Amino acid sequence: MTLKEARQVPAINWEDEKETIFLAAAGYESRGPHAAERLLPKANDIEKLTFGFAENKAAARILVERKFASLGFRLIDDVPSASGLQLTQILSDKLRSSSGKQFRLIVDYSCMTKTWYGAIVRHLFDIKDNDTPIETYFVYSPARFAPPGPPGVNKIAGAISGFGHLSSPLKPSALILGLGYEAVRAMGLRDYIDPEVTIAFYTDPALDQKYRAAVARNNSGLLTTLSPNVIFRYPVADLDYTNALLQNVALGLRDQYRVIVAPLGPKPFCLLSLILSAENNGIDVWRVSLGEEITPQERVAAGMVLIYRLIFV
Amino acid sequence: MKMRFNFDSFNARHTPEDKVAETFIDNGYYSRLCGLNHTLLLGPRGCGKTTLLKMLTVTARRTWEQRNSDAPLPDVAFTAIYIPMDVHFQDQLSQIKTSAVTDPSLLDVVSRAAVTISAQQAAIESLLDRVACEKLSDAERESNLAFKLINAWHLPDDIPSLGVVRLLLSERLVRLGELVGQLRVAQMTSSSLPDWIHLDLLTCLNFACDAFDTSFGLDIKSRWALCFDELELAPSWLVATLFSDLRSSFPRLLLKLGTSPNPSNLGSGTGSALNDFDPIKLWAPPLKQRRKFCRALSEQVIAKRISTDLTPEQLLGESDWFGDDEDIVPEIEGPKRYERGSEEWQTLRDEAREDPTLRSYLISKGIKPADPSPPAGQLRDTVLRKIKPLVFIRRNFSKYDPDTKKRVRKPRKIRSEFFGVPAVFDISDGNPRFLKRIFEEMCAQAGAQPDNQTNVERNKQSRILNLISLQFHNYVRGIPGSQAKIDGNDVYLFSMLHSIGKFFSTKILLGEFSADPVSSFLVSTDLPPNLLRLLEAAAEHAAIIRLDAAETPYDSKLINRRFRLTYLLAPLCQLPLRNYSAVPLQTCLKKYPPLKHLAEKPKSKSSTQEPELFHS
Repeated sequence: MTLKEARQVPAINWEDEKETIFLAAAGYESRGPHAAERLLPKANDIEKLTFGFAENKAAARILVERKFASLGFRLIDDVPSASGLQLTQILSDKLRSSSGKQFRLIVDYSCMTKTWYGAIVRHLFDIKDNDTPIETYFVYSPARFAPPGPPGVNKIAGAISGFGHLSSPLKPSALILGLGYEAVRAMGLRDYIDPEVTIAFYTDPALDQKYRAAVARNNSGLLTTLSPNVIFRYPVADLDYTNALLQNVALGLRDQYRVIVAPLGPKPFCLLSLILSAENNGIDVWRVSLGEEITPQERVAAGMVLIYRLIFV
Repeated sequence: MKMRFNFDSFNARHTPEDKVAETFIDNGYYSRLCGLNHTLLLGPRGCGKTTLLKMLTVTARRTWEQRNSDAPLPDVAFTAIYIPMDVHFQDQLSQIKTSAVTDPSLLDVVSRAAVTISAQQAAIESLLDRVACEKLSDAERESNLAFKLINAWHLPDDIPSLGVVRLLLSERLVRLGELVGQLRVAQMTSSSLPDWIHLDLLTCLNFACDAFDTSFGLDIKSRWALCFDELELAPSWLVATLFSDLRSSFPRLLLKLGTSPNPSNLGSGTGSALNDFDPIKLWAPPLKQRRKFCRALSEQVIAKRISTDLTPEQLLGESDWFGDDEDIVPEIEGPKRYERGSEEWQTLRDEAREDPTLRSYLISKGIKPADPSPPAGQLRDTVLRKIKPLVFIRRNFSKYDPDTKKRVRKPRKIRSEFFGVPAVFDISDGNPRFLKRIFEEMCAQAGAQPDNQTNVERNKQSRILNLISLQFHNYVRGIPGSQAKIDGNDVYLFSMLHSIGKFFSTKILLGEFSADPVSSFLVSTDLPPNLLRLLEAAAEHAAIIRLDAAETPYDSKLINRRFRLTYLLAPLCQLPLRNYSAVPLQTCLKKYPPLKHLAEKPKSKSSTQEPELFHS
């Protein structure tokens, strides 16, 4: 399908009668059900599914799963964090059964892995035979600031499945880093890819300025090697501005470079990167992760919900 | 102190061939590479493989000749086609394999097509360069050549020119990308693929060479060299193809292959073909060759950053304490080196006064500790020159504590650490990327000093070297795949190397004085495979340096090889810049919690604890 419209909206439009499915992830973070609590109408016949990770079954998950259950969510458990296949299969089945009907998809990606919501984005762009528009809402509950853990090592580095394009190695690479607050990771990725050009994005203002300070501190080794004119600040809560900035930079580089976007920071930046890559050849999105070695960390919802609406036709 | 440069900001990959030629400094291996034979150029990241391969191209050689008519390059009797690989392209090829299709062989076909197209593009660039450099420009001949290529490579009919062929190949790569997208969502069979997808890489390149020579009326028996760079990142089928098909089917093509010291893909399908290759190892070159190259490169950086009149010695001063001093000219005034009253003599005497183990050693060699002048010519070389760096590094980083009658590490504040030209050259290990990095920082530091001072003070040099050493340590930490599960324990390459360094420095600094301490390790056959994989990564990124010669045929395995840590880690690990004896790797790891069980049987309990880094 083709993306007709993408913009930030203050709320989900429930007015039109539409077949609706709400997808979320049940992890160990207490913010998991927050968006559903905030956004779902009291009485509804929405199909609500939450996906439980096959890994890291921390005790805190029971509470999150109970909360989701109380909101009417059905749990699909033991989904590998590194594969979005189950999510897209369910989505595909749902779309097939709703053929011809108006359709609304809500994805709460607050606790999803990049692979999961990447698979959903990819799937939406890959759909060939859908005859009605799909109104999609990607919703995100930012977490209250919690200090980063000790630096880990980069175990996995590579394009997110479905977001790597073929391009000639005769063309140099440009790396756009969406900086996170963990030390070493961005620098390690830059050294590994060894691009001709490195550009850094970091959130400023952030939802909590302590986050911004941690990003600057833990990436100071990288930032001092970059010219100020390749360091871009974006307001994380303003998705339209961030999207415009990212698009301008990435598309501006694309003619001369093979572009890699590596979103290591807030998830909304990653979502925008994935959409950009799915729409445009020559822009890859990479992930860097610790693999299965992630230490569960509590994330408490800060209160607001960021909603990004995509209309596919 | 802020560091301004990173390890990978000096990479010839991003530099056009003419610009590479403008700053080219031969590290002593170029003439071998120019030989009319297959060559395997082996070395870690940053050692200059790409520069050497690019210097084989027509454009680079022409640029050099125009600028350096008084210093001609060795002749080459082939036309080079430079074909790069990189981690980005490697990842894109591996992405193809994630597509869910019913026939996995389709994915292999697509992967081969992607490599073939990129090699065709590289060939076109070389043909265009040759036309431009040799002024072969002739519209009819070029049109004839392009027409042949369009037909043979199954490109769509278009205006026959090399520029258009280049464009058509770019378009083909886009089509291939779309095909990968279709494979992801639709069932496809081999018969539904376009015919060009099955084109053979070597056949295509060989045809291009033939067509070029024929079209321009040149010698059709002349040789062409396929210069594959970063071959360690290539798919294993490509390596197997290069080794198996090339010799039998394409006698006019030569291979010049740049790869890491221990490429895991070199074992498969290479067979006896490796016998035909001249292996050039770019790591740990002989001392004089290394210092000569370092001098030329550092002069180039200084000339660019500060002044052509400034020498490395004027910027950093001399120091002949850290490693070998055979090529360092002593100062004319004052006592001769090692003789009574010289700096060496005083240091040895002072150290022997404090350290009973050094005292005993000197007495055993017939040297008086209170007057350690060389009694006979031979002793100067066999004893004093050999022990000088050890005496100095012990004195620099540790001291004898008369109360405990043991040596202890000195606090950072009272250490002088590394400084001066030979030390900086040696710390770089002759790796141009490391050396440029160090000199760029030194020049930036000189530029920041008041009163237009151009020399960098010793303590500032030491701080820069310490920071660069730490930054390299962090670089190793950031390498994806530098962690492995071994016998149930998490092993991190950076901390393992640090632990090895600590083992050596403890022996050298705190143990009894020995003229031949341990400073390198041997890789034995009984090491876990994942540990070998980590060591391969370390060698690829120049964190460990292989010490034995590259034999013919080259054996990329690590087993039974001797390694040391890169000298770039010497400031952090407090190690001398010189090679000494080796011990099995297991011995070095006996205090590294995740792997200490390799030295101690039976196995210890599972642990993920990281060893503590150095306290200073």
